[in-house]
Amino acid sequence: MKREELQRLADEDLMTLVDRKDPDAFEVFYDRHGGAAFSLAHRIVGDRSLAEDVTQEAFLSMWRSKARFDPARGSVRSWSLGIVRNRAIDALRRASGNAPKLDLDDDLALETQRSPELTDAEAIRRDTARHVRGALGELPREQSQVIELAYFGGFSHSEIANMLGEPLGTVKGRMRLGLEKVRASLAEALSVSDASEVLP
Amino acid sequence: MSMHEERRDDIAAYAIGGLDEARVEDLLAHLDECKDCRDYLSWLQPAVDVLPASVEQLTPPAELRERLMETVRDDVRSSQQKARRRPEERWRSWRGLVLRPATGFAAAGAVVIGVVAGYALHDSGNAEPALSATVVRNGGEAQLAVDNMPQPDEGDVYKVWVERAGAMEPSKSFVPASDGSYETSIPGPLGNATEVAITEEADPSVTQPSLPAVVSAAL
Repeated sequence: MKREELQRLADEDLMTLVDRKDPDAFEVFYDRHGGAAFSLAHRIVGDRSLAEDVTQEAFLSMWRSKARFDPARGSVRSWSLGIVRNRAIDALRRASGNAPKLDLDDDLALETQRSPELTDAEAIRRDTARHVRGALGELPREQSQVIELAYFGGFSHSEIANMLGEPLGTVKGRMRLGLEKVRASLAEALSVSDASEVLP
Repeated sequence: MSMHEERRDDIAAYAIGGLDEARVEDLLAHLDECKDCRDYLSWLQPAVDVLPASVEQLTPPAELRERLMETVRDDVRSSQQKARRRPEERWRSWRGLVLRPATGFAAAGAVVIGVVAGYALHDSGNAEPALSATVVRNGGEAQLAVDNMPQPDEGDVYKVWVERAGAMEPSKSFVPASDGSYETSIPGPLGNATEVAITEEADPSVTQPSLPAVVSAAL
């Protein structure tokens, strides 16, 4: 298949070809998600060289089918970034001398619901990114802090509670309130009004 | 705080990878049983999925892409070379098969219907322990036993095939023990079977052999 044709494929169709070990399809897959992956890895490990290693390791894991994409468990982007996060947190822990916390079984990286994921969704992604950055910025500091420590720092809620000197329940409550606000803001950004956007 | 509220706190912590491992198993068990909580996790998940978008977006170095694709294309080349090499060099390495009595099976009263054995010869000419594969009919089934079977390539398995009316039908897949031995039954009926063969396969679910047999025995 020509590169132009590959570029027009939706992520899920591209992954079918990647599973068949099509290097051109994998190249398009990397071009589509490598930037977000590298950015996430860099945010977590805080070092360009280590972020490169993490990104390469994560994508090779996806290529070599040690991690398999399952459409029932979420979008390609969420799946691949989940793997990158897992690897980055693990690298962070190794670099800091702590025992790895995360299981390197990449298939366990995410358990997500299916979400829209089409190649032409990049514009939506950019709008969403702006909106999410804004939503996170508007969160009370104590809520964004616990979310960042857990998601980007790989800390568990009890570690965060110890770190901040706060009760466990308070930390989890802040995580929840913060995420619910981001979720509500996301629904607003996507201007979706179906029932799934309402807090169940 | 109600139990339900506490669960939601746990779910939020779990969704961002921040729930203590000691609580994860309990939460997953609860999620299996509670649709409300599953719905809540599903509802919350997009908020987690977009967190990576909140970080400063960087352009990865071009060298990263080059290194990655070089490795990927090396993988493809290596795989292709391996596939080309197998029918020639690897299969040729099992030439010189000789018959060997399967005394153990015969003593047990079963009927030996196929025995193959051979010596793997490396380029250096050094002989490795003899590979042997023995098929013994046992009523409507057969017993297959192999010894000194080399480990398949990483990720590969050996697959057993039964030939009937000129068609190869897939049977069991296996990886031999570290000492190269393996025993299994081959489900029958084998009345009209003419051959049992073993191939090395990358995909255990294949329905036709993709490579020549490593060993085979006429029935």
